[in-house]
Amino acid sequence: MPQRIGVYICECGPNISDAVDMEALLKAAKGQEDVVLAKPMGFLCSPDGKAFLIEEIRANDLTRVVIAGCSPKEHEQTFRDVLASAGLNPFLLQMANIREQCAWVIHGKADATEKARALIQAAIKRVGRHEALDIKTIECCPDVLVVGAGVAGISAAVAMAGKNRQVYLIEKEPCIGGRVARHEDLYPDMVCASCLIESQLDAVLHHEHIEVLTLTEMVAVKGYLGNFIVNVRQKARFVDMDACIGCGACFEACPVTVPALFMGEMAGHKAIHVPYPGALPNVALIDETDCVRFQGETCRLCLESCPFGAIQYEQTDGVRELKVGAIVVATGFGSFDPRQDDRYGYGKVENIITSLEFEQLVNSAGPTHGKILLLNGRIPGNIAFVHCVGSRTESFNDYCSGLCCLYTLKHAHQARLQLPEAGICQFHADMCLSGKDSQRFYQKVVKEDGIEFFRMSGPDAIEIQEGSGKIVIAHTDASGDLNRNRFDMVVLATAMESGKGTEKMAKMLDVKLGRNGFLAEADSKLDPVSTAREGIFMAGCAQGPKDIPSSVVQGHAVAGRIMGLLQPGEALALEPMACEIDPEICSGCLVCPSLCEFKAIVREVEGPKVFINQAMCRACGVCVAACPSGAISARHFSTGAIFRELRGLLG
Amino acid sequence: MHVFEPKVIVFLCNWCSYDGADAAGRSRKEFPSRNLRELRVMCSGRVDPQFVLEAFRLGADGVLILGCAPGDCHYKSGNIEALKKIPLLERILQQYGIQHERLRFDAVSAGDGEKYARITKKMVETLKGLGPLNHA
Repeated sequence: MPQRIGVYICECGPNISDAVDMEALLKAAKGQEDVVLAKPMGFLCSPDGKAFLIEEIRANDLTRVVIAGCSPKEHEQTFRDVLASAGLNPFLLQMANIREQCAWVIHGKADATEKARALIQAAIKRVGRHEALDIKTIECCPDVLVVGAGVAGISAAVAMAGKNRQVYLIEKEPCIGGRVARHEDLYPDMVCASCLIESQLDAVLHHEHIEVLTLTEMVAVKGYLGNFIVNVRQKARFVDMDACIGCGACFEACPVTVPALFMGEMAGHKAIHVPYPGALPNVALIDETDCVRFQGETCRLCLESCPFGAIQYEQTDGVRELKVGAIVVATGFGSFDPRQDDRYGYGKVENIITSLEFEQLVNSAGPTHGKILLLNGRIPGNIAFVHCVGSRTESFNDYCSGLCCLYTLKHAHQARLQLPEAGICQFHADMCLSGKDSQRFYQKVVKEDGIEFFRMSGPDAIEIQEGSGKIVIAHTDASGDLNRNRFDMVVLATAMESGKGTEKMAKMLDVKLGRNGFLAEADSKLDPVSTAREGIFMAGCAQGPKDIPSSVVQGHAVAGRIMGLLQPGEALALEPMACEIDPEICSGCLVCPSLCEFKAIVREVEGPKVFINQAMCRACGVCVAACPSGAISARHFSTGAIFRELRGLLG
Repeated sequence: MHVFEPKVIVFLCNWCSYDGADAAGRSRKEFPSRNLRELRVMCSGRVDPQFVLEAFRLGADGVLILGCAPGDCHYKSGNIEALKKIPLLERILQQYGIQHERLRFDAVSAGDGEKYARITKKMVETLKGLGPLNHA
């Protein structure tokens, strides 16, 4: 049966009607095969225009519709909805873009009319080949896996977990809260970090719909948005999570003392311990590398001392399979290792530390119980804080981490509170103080704390060496002069870098890294918490350096994105234009699977051929163009439709 | 005197270059739109070599394939797949006596109407220099 094609040419007010000869276009359209009518209309996208179209489609029993007017990027969806309202499949529409790509850019009426005629003819020829496409749906799981229980991951988990949505929050460390839980005070108002975050951590640990898995890492991921299967491996803790209350009786009994790494992450502790005082969950763990029992001895002191029977030497690593609909990567950041650049003297000269180490030093739960001390236990007479270590330099990271200036001011302030007499200096090239509270904080520190500022000619204009028992900083100042100053302690504000495991994680999840090693966004401006792979999201410093509030914002943003996509009890719509392989024609040459960026082309379990997983295909059509047998068809952009369109364009 | 006005088939990807072409229209750029015949595909990687051959067979004087900028492809690497086909296509075209300058791949970002205008202008100038494609 022949098609009944209706052609409607939108005048778009004077936009189109003034530029072309409407009568000529209507006449040309009417002359085309299967066209039953061609009509003009003032504004097809207006309420009147849409009502007119619905009436027209019904009254004339149209089976296909061509609309010539604006760009399909502007109103294709509008007119697809109109077709659906008129009871016609929305894909039986084709638009001819005679406004942006014709009327607006061709000056002569004859030329514009001729091009519009060709565009409309192509649309008419093409639309005859259109097929009605149904939007299929697939069952989906609304549950979510969040990788990383720092402030970003926790914010996301709390925002998403609810009556109909389970969140699995996995963390490779034995405790949650990430870096923030290890901070003492936060700028600009010097609020206590652990006090701030503790209630959040408690909420997560006791949430009915959040399952926290510590000492856990992701090992394999299969599937797609709505239906991921993730394997996670949980390391043995050798302590029963449910029985242990963190009373510490076992710490006293344990014969192995692990000395503190000066200014390192950990204070001195026993082989059985909690990572730091106040760590949550407040459950002990046995470190296999330190415990003598795991070196072949028969010690059972912790087991004997535990009043709760919580010690379980026989625990083994466990693998679990989690079914989730989406995955959030919130694995945090790493820090630039200043050993990479000799000029900083780090690792060679005593009392040169990084800002993260300083953060531990001033922490009341840290190795010196919060006292700022030199390695020999004495109080420093003066301290220098060096900005931009490993950042804003072509040698390492060319970006600005955006928060070091502020935390370095905070560190100077913390030092001043403890050491009223000490000389405190900052070496900086610029001062990055964005945000509504930062300038105020800077002014306060400058005014009240008596900090001396040395401006360098650039972030690299510094050299730090040992000199007769002191640390000597040579810097080139803003006027180009070389200066030397001597200090007891130097604190290096190191660049925030992508976390150590980010690359491995990206590989496992099949998502891309950006130029600086952080995870790449689907769109850095409009979709900054999505990766290019559907269903895989990111939050916090895994995406790029940022402060606490920005990490929380991303945690919430990611929750919003996921909750909008995966609604409990609702099926997920599949791509209606997904490609298809004809098994009769497929020769099993396997050219296509390697071209598919979405891993949608899968081999048959038995047999040489491949098929396309309709839930994973994104309809790009790359495989169609590459198939040497012509076995793959692209829906809506079929080879037949494009051939017809070409004939129309050139006819 | 009859002035030769070439016809160029322009394959545009749905995500970047189609928007780039629209942007050139919205900002009323000066470029030879009357010589262009645009065809939208979801991805430049969808452009089958036979589409290019068919375009020339049907009378096109030139073919432009415009995709996303490297790294910006909506489908990650479809633009690279499109680019990979060009050297092969050029060799095939030469066997038909079609100069390789008549086929060109380039990248146009969404919104970069300026670049779209520049590329199309240059293509039309090149084709005017080459003259009509004489079919055997």
